[in-house]
This record gives sequence, structure tokens and C-alpha cells, in this order.
Amino acid sequence: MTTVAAPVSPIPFRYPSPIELELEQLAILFAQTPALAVYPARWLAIQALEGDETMLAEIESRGGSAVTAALNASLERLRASYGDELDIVIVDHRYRFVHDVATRAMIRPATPPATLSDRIDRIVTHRWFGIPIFLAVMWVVFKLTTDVAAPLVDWLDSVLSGPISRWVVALLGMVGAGGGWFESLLIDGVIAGVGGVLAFVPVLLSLYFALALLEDSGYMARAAFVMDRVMRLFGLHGKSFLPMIVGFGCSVPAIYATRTLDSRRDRILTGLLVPFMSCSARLPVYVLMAMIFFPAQAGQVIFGLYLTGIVVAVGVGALLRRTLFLRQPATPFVLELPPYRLPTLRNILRQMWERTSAFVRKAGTIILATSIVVWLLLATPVRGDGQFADTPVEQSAFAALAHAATPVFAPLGFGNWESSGALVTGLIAKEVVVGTLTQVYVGNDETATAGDPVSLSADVIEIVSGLGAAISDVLRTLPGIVGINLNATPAEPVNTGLATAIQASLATSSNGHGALAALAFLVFVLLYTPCVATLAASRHEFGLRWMLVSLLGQFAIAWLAALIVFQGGLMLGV
Amino acid sequence: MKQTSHPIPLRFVQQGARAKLVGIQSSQRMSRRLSELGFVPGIELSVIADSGSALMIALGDSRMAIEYPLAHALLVTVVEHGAC
Repeated sequence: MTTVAAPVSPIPFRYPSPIELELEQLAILFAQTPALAVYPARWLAIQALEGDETMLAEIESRGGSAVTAALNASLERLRASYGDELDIVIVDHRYRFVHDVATRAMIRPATPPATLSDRIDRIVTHRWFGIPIFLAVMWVVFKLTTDVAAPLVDWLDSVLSGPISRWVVALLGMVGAGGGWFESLLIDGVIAGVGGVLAFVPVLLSLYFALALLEDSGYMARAAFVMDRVMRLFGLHGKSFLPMIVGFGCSVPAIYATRTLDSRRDRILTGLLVPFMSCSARLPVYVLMAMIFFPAQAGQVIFGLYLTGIVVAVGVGALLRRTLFLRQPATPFVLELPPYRLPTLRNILRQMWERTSAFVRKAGTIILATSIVVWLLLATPVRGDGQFADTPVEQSAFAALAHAATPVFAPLGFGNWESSGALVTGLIAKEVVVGTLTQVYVGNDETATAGDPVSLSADVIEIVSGLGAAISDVLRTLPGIVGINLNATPAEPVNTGLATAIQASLATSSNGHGALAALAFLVFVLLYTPCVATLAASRHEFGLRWMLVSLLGQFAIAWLAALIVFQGGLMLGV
Repeated sequence: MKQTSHPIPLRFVQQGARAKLVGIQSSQRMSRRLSELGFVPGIELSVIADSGSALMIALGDSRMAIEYPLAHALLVTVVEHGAC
């Protein structure tokens, strides 16, 4: 009796015989060429026949002329029967094999039923409903980040400027360091600057909650599909939409996200437009100013700013396409869409935590450093007879430096030194604008820390009951997302002392058109030069030249846009 | 309706219809890219949605968005007409 050992083939599937013959010959040849030994011989042969440019170059440079000649002879013989479709035939054969295995192993209905995902897509990505649905989703996101987060922002702000500040003063008093420059540094520098920014953590938490929900559910890829038509206005396509959406969170990861795009032209063009997508660092500035100047329409003003950013990006995209990128066509749009999935709470919380903690770390480092520098400049008298850490802000070094920048902003309606100074420090990080405004204006506000002595227990009660009230306010705003307003009165603007100071100051700088100047200021903050972190990312990815285009171009665009808003508004008699 | 034997570009296939891919008319580079994504002759596909600039295609278990010019390059025969 003879037993036939089942042949165990190392390659369970073979290409059609003419291709297989050439593959085997080439594989033997490559295996005998020591310089090509780093690659698996059969794999390299397949790549060569498929026409992979990188590997063909490798074979030519490492293998030498004899190997290249043999390869070309193989290709020549195969082209005789397959023509230019050789690569398709090879790939096709692999797919047939996979398909064959799958059909034998799986039982499926002859006509695949439409999945739930497909049925959702018929509505969500509908030719006419798709974009309105997308805009409605975005509207809910902005309501969530403004109205819903606002009561919590108010609460955090009152805790930081009330009990926390009082505790710091009391503690310093206990160790005998009260009343001096150190107290001023902590209260007017650190708490006013860093705290002013940290108070906006609830805004960011709700933004990151919304972004995580959209990403994890699979909607983001649909948005790219739906927005492809709109992205074509920018000279880009749907794939560039993903970095753009990331840009609403932060420009830095958005610039790195351009790496997923297929051509350098698309990467640079997208990278130049990403900073016009209003990042979350700019949101605190909008929330602060909108609550002071437009308390009843804060949501609409902020939504309008986001739209303005998009519209300006469309314009700049069209301009760049007709100038710097004239001779470079776009690459085709192909995108695989994942099925819809139910996001898990765990994943969403993890993303919210990761992104928000990055923001808090920034508050602990770059924003803290800027706040201290601004405080030092504010504490140093250059005029008058004030002492260090006890000088009127108008006579400080900060005021003197900021004064030098005011002529640039005067035609825009905010040529006061406070705004100019805040915009300059905002180059370090956009949220610093809020920190600096708080430092500059609350420095004026003597009542901030000189309150009546309150007991610790009273403070704790105030904090807890304040939180309770804030949460109940949040719950009452939720129906407002779909248009039902249970809050008869709008939320109180952040820190009334700060609000009155900013209102008075902008009213003066604009000859009584404070609200218009505030709007011009917001448009400027939206569009002006990206923060240093974004510029660094831009230089890293695209080089110094494109970074400078971004830096100077955006300053010019912001200045012009704010000029149009302010002077145009004056002409229209707003 | 019965199967039409005449190949037409995928771009003109109605939403909901099912079709069989018979060929790709594109640059070699793009043809290769498309076949790597699963667009190989003989495969059945259907049009799920049309955004106005791109089509969403069901291709086995995957869903692909492809722009109109590429949908012009994919030649198909209609297997079953969609409800339109």
C-alpha cells in the first residue's frame, strides 16, 4: 500500500500560467541576486509585474543591468497577451481567489439586502437633504458649546474670582505674605490670566463631546461625502474636509491630518485654509465678547463667525487655485466609508479627557508663562509715580508697548491699547486674548478681591449651590437646542466688572459704536495670524515659505475683513 | 427589466440599481488604484447615494465614495434597475 503525502504548497494560490511562469523565473533570479535579498523574492516579482514604480526603481538600482534586462523581457512577453492591463489582471486574480474562498465558506442571499447603514445613508447623504442635515447637526453642536455650557462657565468663573481668590489672599495673609507684589502676581497674574482661560473648560468639553460623537458614529465620513460638492468651491475635494473639521478643534492636529491627502498640492492648499476654520481656542473669545455685546443673540453671532471663516476660506481657496496653484490639477476623490456604529460612552469620555487635558496642560505652561509676562509688564510703571505691582494700568509698561500697536487697529474701531495688547499676546495662543483682557481690565476692578471676609463654610456652600443652579440651568437650555426656550432671560454675562470695562473701552475707541467694534474685533480674532504652535506645524509640514504665506496673508486678510465690517457698518449707519 | 448587454458608465446608473462592472477606462495608475479598492471586472455593485459631485457605491460589504469623473471611467452593465 502506498500513501501519498498531501502536497503542502507554500503558495496556496497561483496566477494564470503565463504570469506564474514569469513570476517563478523572476523570483529565482531575484533570490540569486544578493543585493535584492532584503525583499521576499516572490513578493518583489509580483510588485515588478504590477508595475510598482518604487520597487521597479529599487530593482534597477540594486539589481543591475542583467536583472533589469530579464525583467523587461518578462514584461515584454506578458504585454503581448495582456497589453496594458497586466496589473489589473494580477489584482483581479487575487480578488477572484478571495471571492472564491469567501463564497465557499459563507452563505448569503442572492440579492444583498439593504443594510440599516444604507437606509440611513439614503436620507443622510441625500443629494438635496444632505447639506441641510449637515448644517442642522453643526447648529446643534454650536448650541451645545454656547448655550448649554454657559451656566457652567459662569459658575467656574465666579468660583475662581470669588472663593478661590479669597482663599489665596487668606492663605497668603496667614503666612505673612499678604498685600504685596506676590499676592498681586497670584491674583492679577495667575488667577486672572490662567483662570480666565480655564473657566472655558466646559465649552471645550461640550465641543469635544460633539466631535467624538460625530467621529465615532461614522457620520464624519458621510459629512466628507456630502461636503465634497462644497469643497470643490475651495478647489479641494471631500477628503480635505476631514482635516478642515479637525480644524474646528485645533489647527495643529488639522495640519498634520493633511498627511492623509494624496498630493502635495492638496496638502499645502488644505494646510493654508485650515486656520480659517475657527479653532476651539478662539471660542472663549467669541463667548466672552458675544455675551457682553450680544447677550440675546450670542449663539447666532458665534455661528455667524464660524460661517464667516468658511466663506473666507472658500474665497482664499479660489484665489490660490487661480494663482499659486494654477498648473496643478486636483487628485481624484475616493473615500471608503465605515458602517454606522453606536458610539460607546467609554470612548467618547476618553477622547473628551485626552483633548481637554491637552488644553489644561497648555493653560499650565504657555498660558501661565504669558500671564506672568503680561503681569510683569502691567506691574512695571513707566510713567507717573506708581510703585512696582502698585501702578495704574495706564502707566504700565504693557500699556506703553500696546499703545505703539494701536494705530494699526484704529481704523478697525478697536484702537485702544487694551485690545491691541490682547491681540499681540493672542499670537502665542488665541485663548490668551481672554486671559489678557481679564488681566488688563480686572486690574482696574478693585472690588474683585476686596470683598467682605467670608467664612470657609459659607464659601463651600456658595460653590456647591452655585454648581446646583448651573446644572439646573444647563438642563433648562437643552430643549433650546431644538428651538424651545425655557429661559426667559439670557444668561448673565461673564464677570460684570469685566463686561462694563470692555464695553466702556470699546465705546471710546469707536466713538460710540462699541457693538460694531466688538464685531470687527471678533472677525479679526477669527482670521488673524495663526498661533505659534500652528505656525510651527505649518513650517514642519510645508516649509518656511508656505508658513510665511500663512502668517502674512492671514494678517492682511483679517485686517481687511475687520475694516470692511467696521467701516461698512458705519456707512450703513449701524 | 431584463439585463441590458450594452455597457454604460457607472455615472449614469440610477440610484438603487445594481450593475456588474465590465471594464475600467482610465489611466493605468488610476485603474490600478481602483482595482486595489475592489473595483475589479465581474463584481456587482449598486449605487446608494448621489451627493451631486460623487456617488456612494456598495461594493460587497464596503461602501466607497467616488467622484463623478471616476464614475465615468467605470463601465458597467445594469443587472437590475432601481426604483426611480
